[in-house]
Amino acid sequence: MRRSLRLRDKSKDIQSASAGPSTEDRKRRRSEELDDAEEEPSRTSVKKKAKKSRSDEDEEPAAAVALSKEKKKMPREFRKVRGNAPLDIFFEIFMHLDPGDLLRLARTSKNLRNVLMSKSSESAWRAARSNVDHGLPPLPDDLSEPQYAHLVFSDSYCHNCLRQRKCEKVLWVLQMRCCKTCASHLLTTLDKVKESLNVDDRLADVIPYVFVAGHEIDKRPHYMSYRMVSVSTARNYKAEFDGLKSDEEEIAWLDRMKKIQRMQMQYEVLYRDWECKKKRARDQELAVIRGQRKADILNRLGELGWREEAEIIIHPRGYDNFSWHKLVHQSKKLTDRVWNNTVQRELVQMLTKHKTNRLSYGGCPCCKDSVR
Amino acid sequence: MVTLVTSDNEKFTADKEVAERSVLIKNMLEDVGESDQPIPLPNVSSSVLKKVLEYCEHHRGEPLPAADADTTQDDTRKRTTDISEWDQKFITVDQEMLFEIILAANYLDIKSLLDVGCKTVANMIKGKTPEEIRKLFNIVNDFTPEEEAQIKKENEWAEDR
Repeated sequence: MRRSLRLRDKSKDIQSASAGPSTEDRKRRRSEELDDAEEEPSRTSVKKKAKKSRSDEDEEPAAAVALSKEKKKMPREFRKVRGNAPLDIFFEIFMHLDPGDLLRLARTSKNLRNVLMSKSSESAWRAARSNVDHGLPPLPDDLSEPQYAHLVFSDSYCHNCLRQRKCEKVLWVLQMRCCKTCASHLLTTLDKVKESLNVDDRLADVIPYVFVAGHEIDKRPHYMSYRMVSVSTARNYKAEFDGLKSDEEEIAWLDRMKKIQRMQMQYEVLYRDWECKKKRARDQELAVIRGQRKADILNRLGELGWREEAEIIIHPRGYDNFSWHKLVHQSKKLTDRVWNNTVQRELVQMLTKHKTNRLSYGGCPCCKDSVR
Repeated sequence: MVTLVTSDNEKFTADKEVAERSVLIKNMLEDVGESDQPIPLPNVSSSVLKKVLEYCEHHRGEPLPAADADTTQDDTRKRTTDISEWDQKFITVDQEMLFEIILAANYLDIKSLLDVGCKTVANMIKGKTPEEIRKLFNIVNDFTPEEEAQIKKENEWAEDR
């Protein structure tokens, strides 16, 4: 009981001011839907059961607590790991994940999918979103939590043809990540749309668009870009617009669509900003790891009596053959095994050669050639 | 001293201060008052209680979280999956024991231990592909290839199941 109170508190702060079903309702639903996953197919019987347990609760609180504890169980797969456990524990675990992790969990089995894709798990998704660093932009109005997670975190395949390939760019105008081939089919230039669909300027002005560099479309120079729109959105807009009967309707519709277009573009800006922050932070993280590796290598070389030779090569800003050596300039922590197997041998070889050159020629070609 | 009896009838004695890190035991002791009677813990086995007591012993004297700590803390504190070095070593156990500890922490109401357990499981899941997660927890893939293609498009969000 106390645990449940804690969970309620947790979800409260995430929900902030948003109105919605109470936590108790959600928890009830959670247990219902879990039963649902376990005892398909009779949904009505589950509802009846839940109703019954609620009325029991009024009469005999203690008995009801015991009943609800019995009912809240982990999905079957986790139960294989360890007997029966309250579903609350699941949500405790979910609270520490990010939306991408929840999405991948929801793709492991039907049971987990049922739990995570139900609206009563919304608080877990919201919590997951709040775990994302650098302020992920808020959930767009027209996307559900999993759809947003899919858009932001599923970058290993094309969302249109599903082929495995890294799709780094989110095309907000399509609300998906896709490969170049699919993008070339799904997007077209605004000029072409105007021509082929006979779109007038007022309508063309409200269709969401994205600027794509000229060289990505044809052989235009890189500084020229095309205004690209989604073919299907353009068609839908055209059909909707043609269906409007009066001037007032048209004005109201165009006004609404203009707002949607602006909102989408604002999202794109927010998202890019978040991506930049994330990338910068990651770069810094990697730079720290590389720095630690270099320091570790220098310490180990010191123990072998080669540190001084390495320091002769090292440029204060790191523009030198030692710092950029393929075994030094790596974003991986140095392990004893890797040091003993390869790094030590190759670096000592390199430093020996460097010392010989330095002493024989009164200077080292490698140092002379480097920026230093 | 407090005597605890596990599900497999083994008796453990612990300092009151250590045992009272469990809110369940603390409340029980408050309800019973001064008594030498052993406290039965039918949901905890001896191997798990041993681990739990080891944790409580190490963290004895640390302030217990207040009942409403989460609401006040979570407003400003981001949930992190950082675990202290000692806790990390403590929780490096096999999967079966890990889940046992989580369940025991939940039953005994030891918030910090529950957090450590859940964070550990979360860390195991983080960044893994669905296939890797299945492998990790012995989850059977019951999706048909068609269903799998469908979920990859992720256009499903249960209306109100």
